[in-house]
Order: sequence, then structure tokens, then C-alpha cells
Amino acid sequence: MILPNIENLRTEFDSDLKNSTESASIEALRIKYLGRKGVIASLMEAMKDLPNEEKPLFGKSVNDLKKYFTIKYDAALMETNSEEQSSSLPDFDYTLPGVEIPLGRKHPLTRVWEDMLNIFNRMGFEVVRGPEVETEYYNFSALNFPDNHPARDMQDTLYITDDTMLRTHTSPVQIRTMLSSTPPVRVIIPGRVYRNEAISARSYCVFNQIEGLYIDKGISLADLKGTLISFAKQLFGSNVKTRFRASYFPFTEPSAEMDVSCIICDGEGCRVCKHTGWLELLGAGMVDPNVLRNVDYDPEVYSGFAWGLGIERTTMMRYGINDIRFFYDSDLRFLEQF
Amino acid sequence: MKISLNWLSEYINISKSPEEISELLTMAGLEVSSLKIGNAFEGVVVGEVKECVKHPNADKLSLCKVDIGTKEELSIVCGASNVKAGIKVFVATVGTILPGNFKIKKAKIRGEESRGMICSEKELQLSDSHEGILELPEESKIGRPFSDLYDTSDTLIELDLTPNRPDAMSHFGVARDLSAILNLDLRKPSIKLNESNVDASSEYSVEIEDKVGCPRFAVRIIKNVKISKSPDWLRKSLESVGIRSISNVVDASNYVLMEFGHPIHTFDMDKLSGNKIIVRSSTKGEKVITLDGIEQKLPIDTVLVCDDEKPVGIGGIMGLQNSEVSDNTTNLLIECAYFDPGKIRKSSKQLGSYTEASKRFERGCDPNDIQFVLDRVCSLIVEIAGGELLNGIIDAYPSMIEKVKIQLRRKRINSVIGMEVPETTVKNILNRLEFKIKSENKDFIELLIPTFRPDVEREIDVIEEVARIIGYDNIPPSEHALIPLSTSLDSNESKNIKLKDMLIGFGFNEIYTNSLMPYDLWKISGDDNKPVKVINPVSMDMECLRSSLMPRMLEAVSYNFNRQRNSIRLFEDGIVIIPDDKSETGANETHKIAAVIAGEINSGNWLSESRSADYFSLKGVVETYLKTIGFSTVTFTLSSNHSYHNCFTVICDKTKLGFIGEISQSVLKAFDLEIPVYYFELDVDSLYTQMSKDISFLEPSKYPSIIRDLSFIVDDSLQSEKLTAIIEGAKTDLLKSYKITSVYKGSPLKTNEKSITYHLIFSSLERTLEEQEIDKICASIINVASDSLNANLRV
Repeated sequence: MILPNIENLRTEFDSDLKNSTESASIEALRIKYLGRKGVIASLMEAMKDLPNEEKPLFGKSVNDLKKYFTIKYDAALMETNSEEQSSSLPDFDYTLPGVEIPLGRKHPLTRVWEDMLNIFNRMGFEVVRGPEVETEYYNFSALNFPDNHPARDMQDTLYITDDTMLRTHTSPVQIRTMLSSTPPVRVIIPGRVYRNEAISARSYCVFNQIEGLYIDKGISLADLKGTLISFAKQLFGSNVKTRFRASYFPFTEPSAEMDVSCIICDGEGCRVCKHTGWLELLGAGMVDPNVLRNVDYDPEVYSGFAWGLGIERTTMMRYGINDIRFFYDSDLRFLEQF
Repeated sequence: MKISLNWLSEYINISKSPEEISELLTMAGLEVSSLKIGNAFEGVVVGEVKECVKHPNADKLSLCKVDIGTKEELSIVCGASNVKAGIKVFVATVGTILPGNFKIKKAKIRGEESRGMICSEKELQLSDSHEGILELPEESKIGRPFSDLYDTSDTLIELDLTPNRPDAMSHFGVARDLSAILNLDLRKPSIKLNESNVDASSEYSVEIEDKVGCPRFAVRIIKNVKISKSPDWLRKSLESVGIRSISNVVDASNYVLMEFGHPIHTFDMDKLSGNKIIVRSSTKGEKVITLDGIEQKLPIDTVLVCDDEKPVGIGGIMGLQNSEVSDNTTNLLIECAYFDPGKIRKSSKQLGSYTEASKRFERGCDPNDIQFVLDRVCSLIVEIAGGELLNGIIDAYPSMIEKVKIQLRRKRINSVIGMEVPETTVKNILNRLEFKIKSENKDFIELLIPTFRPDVEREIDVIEEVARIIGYDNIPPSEHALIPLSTSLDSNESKNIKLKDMLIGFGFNEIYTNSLMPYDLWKISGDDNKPVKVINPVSMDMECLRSSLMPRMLEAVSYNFNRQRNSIRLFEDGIVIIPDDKSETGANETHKIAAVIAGEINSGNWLSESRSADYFSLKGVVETYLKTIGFSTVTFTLSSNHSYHNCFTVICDKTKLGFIGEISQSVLKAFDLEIPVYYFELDVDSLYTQMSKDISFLEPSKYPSIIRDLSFIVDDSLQSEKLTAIIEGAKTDLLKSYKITSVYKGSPLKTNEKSITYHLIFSSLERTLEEQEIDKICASIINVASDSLNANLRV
């Protein structure tokens, strides 16, 4: 048998391939060259008759040719397939928008509250809630606000009767909680609070607070710091810096205010932090012995700390919102950003 | 409270920068709300603009030649529009440092040399005006330094004090805190008194009738003073802290007030009748004319300072016109007293007058510094107004207010603070704060607390002082893990999150609304009760507490609808409040979740047209919501509420879960809404109860199901639930589920007929069903329907 010139076969394949543009002709090409009775198969068949010494060289040439055919064939097949597929629906405008699925949004105050809830849950605090209408006893007296004392002016009160009022802070729930449980106590208390303040960009007569309370044996100011620093880092990121300033609240002693480095300028100083580099996050302190006595906890045995913060203020800090009224206006253009 | 650093340096030498001092005060609880750093503006001098021409390369700039008294005139480029030749100005010469560390350098501005800057008022911190450069009076002398004309070298600190620190309402008090923080010595001014040999007590006496309101009242007398202007140092000191200079005598008492924080009042002695001061409570209906010339009716039980005829002062709050010091005054009666804080607070609140005096007395002045303060003010008056100081103080102090004694346990300091505080540090702080150590042993230190610190009454208060002065930031935070006290993951809070998340998934946006509302809005709730009302509302439109989430939600619908939003789904989760005599707070508070749907339920797109919301859109939400929560059979029964066009109570197992309805036309009109609005409100605690129940798993069937569609022709007026009840009532456990797939009216049906089609799915857990047995079940359903409802199968 006269062996065909391998190179000629290659040229022949190339010209056949050029003419095969549809899948049918490509299939024909496969059968002719790679099929069971195709060119490659017959070359392999012919190799049997060659003298042994010629076999390796010939075999290698045939193999190379097979590889060449296969690669070219696969590529051609892929190309025709995709061409045919995309042309099978000529009027399919896949650039049209998808059908919108309506999905609601969580209010930014809820988002921030849930973050705080998660943080404190992880630290072993549970949630308790209490009434919005409170008695004078729970809102002030039990919290060591003296009668006729300027401390009461720190919170302008909305009264329902002479001795009931809209709670000015979530702290009365501390009293309710301690009265109904025994130490250790670890709770956070969310809820609406009310102040007799005109509505403006910076203040609203209704707002949400979170209060925290931790009572056990041997709790110190150092524990207060550890817990609240961890909270701030979880909420604002581990790079946030904190500082504790001395302050005054009737129901804690010592009292403190905690600042975090300004989230807008990273503590460099900007308009939001009034160029101080710090933003006030929360008020805190060691629970005053008078408060513990009011709920029949022995201050010689138990101690603890409490803190409170405004969710609106914190949310404003977190998202750079400049007007508290946005939270209560129910404007979808605002709400849909969260 | 404004503090001047120059003034402070009378009592303490601080080498820290104003910023550092401000930071230290803030950290120790005397919060600095603003800081104005002094600058003497060295290098700023008066100049005259000799020439002023346009800058060749810039429209808005001018080239000036300015004479500042040196040999050579300065070339200065100026950007102000009011600069012109011939005016006198302040020039910041090369080398001057302006606020913000802005150093004036020789510069080329757009190619022209500039050797200095012509200043505006703002640049010199004289005002906030940055309108243009400051034009000086023509007679201003060229070359005169700025500091000759203005004294701005003082740094001013504004403190935002907490109400527990009356002692810090004075320069000396602030200096005392700084002396403790920085461990520096404090200087108390020394007083030289030159008393005459006439005894004051021979001329005057004091009697206190209201010993509760006024525990101590003391006076001194100075004769033959000369009222005039104050010396410069005194006027400047007062003006720097925001107090207007009046006359030497009045200024002296204000100075001592700002110095030691104890109010002083001076009477024109010749305007007083008799020779005795009586301190008593006001009687009912008593009236006085205050310093501002207004006649005021006094609240009963106000402390009054009287001569033998009439009131001459409202104790601790203000003096009266009838005894005021005037330019002609020659003889002075100078009062320094201690009034009861609670009484002063009550009276000043009732009178609506908050004065420098009342602010201090209501927080608590020092009853025991009175002699010192009187001596201080009298020596100052004699120094600047002359006169003869009579011998001795007339001092009515019937029962001495003693210093509080406190035992401070050494161990307790460390356990409250959470770190070891060295004994020397503790003692040093106590000493600097003037807490006297009376005695000590190995366990505790016994302290005498000065009466200028009414806030320190107990051991814990002393520990706070120690912690505060050490600085909270110097206490290392502790870190330890906590094991949750409760083992349940399934708290109401996590259920609350689920309830909200589901509605968000249904496309509802969460809102928060004001829970205070005007009565007219409250009425819209459709509530038959009365609202809980605030007796001192912020304004009348926030008088009532919400008893439903509906009114404010409609307001939100209207707000968004007016902003071209035509597909509105909102929800709110919150407390509603109604009166309840049985509750200790007089109110009953319940937790609700409410939602509203209005406008289009899908806003339309290129594939499908929009569809308007209807009752069934929201009913579907409620059904799916409740089913997902775990309620199996929920019924909707018609109820009545005048705020709703149709209102249905949502019931499961005889428990009312809430209601759903279409808002009535008249209510919608109140919000200018012209589209139908559907609303539901559910009781959250009832939902929580159901959510606490466990899910019990049912294995799905391995065998194929059989499906049947049954169409019934019924009377048009029939409520479908009757037919549904028959299907549910079929005596079989093979019917796994069913749904209504069509409701049809029209040809070929008669006009009073409709057809309802049910899609039924049968299956068994144990076996493959036979067609025949299902046919039998269907036949029985059809029979019952035909017999009881006259419903016929549509063929």
C-alpha cells in the first residue's frame, strides 16, 4: 500500500473545515476524518502492514494528525453551536430589565437596634421591656432623683397626671427588673422615651433608648469599661478609639460618659464632631447604692453598672444622617436607602 | 459658666496649653462646650492705605501701598472689596501668627509681591464678620500695635456643668479641681481688712423668721463710699466672662460671685427703713416690684428679705428696686446668706426667674464661707470705692451646718474602681480637694467633707472623686466572658425580628411614627375609649397617645402618595396605649404590628400591567402571614367600626388576633387620599404565643395523588365559606388540600348565579388511591352541597 502523504491530509482537512459552517457538515467532517471508518482509522489499519522499524515514526505522525483534527473539530463545533443557539430566538431582547420583585426595607433604627441586640446577646445580656407610661416612683424617686432638685431639669417631662408621666428614660425598667428578680442580673432594655422638647433637626420629643444593667458580686468600674469598650468596637469596628469622661447622673456613682473617635473623620476633627475628634456615644456609671437599696439589694454584697444610649443619635452617627426628623417622616425615599 | 484663664492664673500656675487644660476639665466631668483661645496678635499694627490700584493679573485683588510708620511703605495684595486709599486698617506684618497657626509670610500673589495682610474682624477674632477688612477710625495712630486697642490675649473656656457641682460655678472652684488633677498648689487671695472702731452691730441687726428657708444671713456695713466707674482690670475681668460692668460697688460683688461662687447683694442702706433686717416667708398674695420695674405676685412661702416696713429683696433670687444701689448711694449694707436649695428652686421656677444667684443657691452654696466672702467683697469695695468699713459682721446663723463625716474604706476604693490605687494618690487627691482627714486606721480613713461640696455625702461619692481625678481613662478595662443567664434562644425579641422580616419579605417598608398626636387625629382610630392625654403637651398637636397605629400610618401613606409614590406598602411595630384605671400607671399598653397597602400592588412593567390593591391583596398577606407563623384555621368575621368601610375581625381558635379592613371614605378624605387603603393590625403577644409552639413534622406521601376540579353553580349571594365548609366537612382523611381556582359570573349562567371552582388534591400515606373511591367522596360532597345549598355541579 502506498502511504498517503500526511501533510496532504492536513491540507485537505483544512479546506473541508473551511467549507463546513453548519452543524450537519461538521458532523460529516467528523465521520470522514475521525469516524470508525475515517481517515485516521484507516491509517491505523494500514500501520499493521508496515515493517516494525517504521511503525513508531508512522504511529507518531498519525497521532499528531489525530490530535490536530480533534482540536480543530471541537473548536468548529463549539462555534457553530453558539451561533445557532443565539440565532434560534432572533427576537429575544435579553437586555430588557428583569421583573422587579417588591421587597420591603427595615427601618434604620431597627437595623441599628438589631446590631446592638446581637452584640449584647453574645455578651450574655437578655432583653426586658417595660411600660411607656410610668409612675413618678419608677421614673424618678427610685432612681435617686431628689425631690425639688435641678437634676430633674435634665429631663423635661411630659405628665399624664400629677404622679404619672411618659417615661423620660428606659431606666425605670431597671427598677422593675431588679424588683422582680434576684442577682445576677444582665439585661438590656430598649424602648420609646419622651421628653418635653420642641421638634428640631437635633431633637425629637419621642425617641428610642437602650439601657443596660449588670448586677453581680464584685463588679467594678473596670468591668464597666471592658464591657462598653467591647460593645463600641463590635458596633463601629475594632479600630474605634474610646474615652471615658467623668459625668453626673443621679442613679449612678461614679458616673461617666463614653465618647468614641469620630466615625466620619477618624478622630482627625470635622464638622460632625465639632473638631474635637470625639462623638458622645453613651452615659454610664456604677449603680448608686441608694438605687440598690431601693430594690432591696445589699450594696455591700452586690454592685454593678448601667448605661444608656439613644438609638437615633447612634444611627445618625453611623450613617451620617443630619436630621433626626427623617426617622419619623416615613419618607420612602429615605427608608429605601437602608 | 465662662472661665477666663487669665483670671484662673490668680489662683494657680498652670504651664499647660489651653487645649490641654480644656481636655483635662472635660475628662474630669467639667465639660468644656467651647474654647476660645486667646491671641495678643503680636505683629498686627495700625496702617494707612496710601495707594490702592487693581491687581494687573486678577480682577478681584487690589495692590495697596500701606504706611505702618516704618521708613518704607509695604506693598500688600488685598482681596477685600472695601479696601480703598485713605482708610486706616489693621495690618498683620510678616511673621505674625493668626489663629489656626496661619503664619504671614512674604509672598508673591499672581506675580505681585505682598508683604503682609490687611485683616478682617474675623481674622482678629473680634467678631464672626468676614464681610471685608476692618476699617478703623480716622484718628487711629499709624504704627500702634493691635494690643493697645484690643485686649484679646485671654483664653475663655465655656463650661457645661452638671447640676451636682455648684462648687465649680466659680473660678476658684475650677482652679481647685485643676489643682487636684495636676497636683499643683492653690492660692487663696489674702484679705486685708481695715475696720473702723464703730461696731456694725450697734447700727443694725438681723432676725431670721424663716429658719428653714434661710439658715444663715450675714451683713456688713460700709459708709461713705463713692459710686463710680470700675477700674479697668475689674471691668475687663467681668466683661471677659460675659458680665456687664455697672458700677464699682456692683462690679465688686459680681467679681466675688464669679470668684467664689457665692452670691452677694448690696443694699443702699439709706433706702432701708429702720435698723433691722427680717428674713421671712411671703404671705398669700404678696406683691413686689423687681429690679426690672415689673410688679410680680409672689408665690406663697417665698423667702423675703425685709426692712421694718417692706420687702427689700427676694431671698437668693433678686433684689428689689426700692433698695437698689444707685449713683448717689453712700452707705451700703452688704448681704451674704445661705438659702435652702429646694426652696429657692421652687420659688425661682414659680417666678420664672433664673438668675446668677438662684442658679447657685438652688444647687447649693457653701453656708460656711460666708464670713470669708463678705470680708473679700468688703475689702475690694473699700479698695475701689473708699468708705468706712464698720467693725464686725452681723451674722444670724442659728444652727450651724456641720461638715459631713464619711468613713472611706481603703478596700472599697479598689473594689469599686477595679484597680489598686496607691494610698499616697488617694490622700493627695483628698487633700487637694480639701477633704480633711480627721482620723484613720488600717481599714478606713475618716473624712470631713467641706460644705462647698453638697454632692459628696457618702463613701461612694468620695470614691467617685478619686476615680474622677485619677481619670477614668487611666483605669484598665477588664475583659472576661459571660455565660448567658437564660438558655432559651427563642426570646420574644427574636420572634419580633421574624415578624418584621416576614412583612419585609412581602414588600412592606418599616416605618416609625410619632406616638403623640392631636385629638382630631386620635379620633380617626375609631376607638370608643378616651385617649390617654398629656397635661403639659409640647404642643396641642401632640396631646394624645396613640391607641392605634392607623392614624399616623395613613399620614405616611398620604405623605408618600403626594410625592408621586403610587405603590405603597408600610408597616409599623409598636405600643398602643389606652386608659385603664386598674393599672398602676393608669394606662394599658399593648404591642401591635400593623400594615397598610394602597395604590398599585405591582407598579406595572413591560411584561405585565399594573394591578390596584384590593381587599384580597391584603387578606392574602394576613392569611400567608398567619399560616407561616403557625395558625391553622383563621376566620374573618364581619365587625363594625365607623372608621372602616368594611372591617373584619381575625380569629383563630376563638382568640381575636386583630382586624383587617378598608379605610372609610370620610377618613381618607381627612388625609386627602383618593385611592382605597387597606389596613390590618394584629396583636403581637398573641402571635408570640403561637410562635412558641413547636412544629410537628408530617412525612410526605410516597404515593401519587389524585386531582379533581369541581365547579358548583350557586346563588350569587352565597358566601363561599359555606360551600368551603362542606368540602372541609367531607368525611375523609384523604383530602389533603384544596383551593378555589375560579369564581365566574355571566353567560351561560343566569344573572343571579355564579360558579365557584375548587381544585381538590387527594392522597394517602399508605397506598395508591383508586379512582373509584375518590369519585365516591366527590359524589358525597356534591350531594351535600346540592341538598343544603342548592349548589349544582356545573357540567
